Amino acid sequence: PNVKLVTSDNEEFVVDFRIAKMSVTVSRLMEAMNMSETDDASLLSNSIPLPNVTKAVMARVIEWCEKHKNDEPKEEKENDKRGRTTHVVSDWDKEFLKNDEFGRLCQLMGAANYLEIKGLFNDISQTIANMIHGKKSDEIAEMFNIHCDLTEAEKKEIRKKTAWCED
Amino acid sequence: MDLILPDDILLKIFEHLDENTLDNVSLACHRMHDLVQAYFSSPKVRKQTPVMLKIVQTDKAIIFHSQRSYYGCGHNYYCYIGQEELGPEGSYVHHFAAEIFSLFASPGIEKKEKEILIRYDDSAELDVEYVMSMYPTTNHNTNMKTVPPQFIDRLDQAIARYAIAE
Repeated sequence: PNVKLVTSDNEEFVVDFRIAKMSVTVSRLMEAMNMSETDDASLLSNSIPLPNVTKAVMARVIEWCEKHKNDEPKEEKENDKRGRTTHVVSDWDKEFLKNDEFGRLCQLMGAANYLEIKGLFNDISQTIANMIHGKKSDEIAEMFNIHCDLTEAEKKEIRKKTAWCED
Repeated sequence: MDLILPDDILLKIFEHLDENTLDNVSLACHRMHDLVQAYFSSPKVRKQTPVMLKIVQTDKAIIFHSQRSYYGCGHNYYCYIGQEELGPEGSYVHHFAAEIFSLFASPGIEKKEKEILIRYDDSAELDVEYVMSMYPTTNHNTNMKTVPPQFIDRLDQAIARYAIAE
């Protein structure tokens, strides 16, 4: 059975029921609309509106879901005392995300968050973290296209507060 | 145009970053700085992070420098805590304060202003042996070894009230 998803720019995507169910948000909407896998009529007569996802982003999301539709659920490992998580991004996922510029990754991450697709969200989150890792503040600001509104005095104060162990 | 990611998404990204990088993130702009501070103050991070206290006595107060530290550098919370702020008489916190004052008053410590480092890990155990190695002439009450959550709560409350720079 197939499910119809409609993006913010009115593009209709017809996807396999299993793929639709990978999104917690879509699953909830289908339940609310009494759409069932065994009820073809309910699937044919309804479509799921996704006002926070554009056509271009949805296509990427579906591509990821197609690849991962048979995956077993993965548990995140907390591997240090702070509870900092390291999510292992598979080679396929690295390849999938490597050509997305930073802005596109942010859009994709926003969609994964809205659609509640945990695996995709974690892949992008870890990918963005890897991109930020080791960068200086001005490089991070440039990456996020942020205008730094901190004064030099404020920066100095922040550095002072974070330098205790280096005394 | 700024690439505005919602706070909840940025906080998720922060979970993957080491502390040095987070320090750099906090220098990117006011919003990022506030968000990094919020991240370090979140219950999950506070609970799971080893805490180091640096306690300095001055004429007017004891200063607690509380640092949540993982890889050798971290964030400081400065506060000035008068003796009366440390808790009601008979409470553990008061007892702890009394122990701290006695440390400063002990014969082996000559300077008026001294620093001690007390480290407790996320299982909330004071590293008494470490403190004793620094101040071998001081008697320690073994009851100090376990730090009850109330102490951490009180310290956090005091930090919130007295969060000022040195």
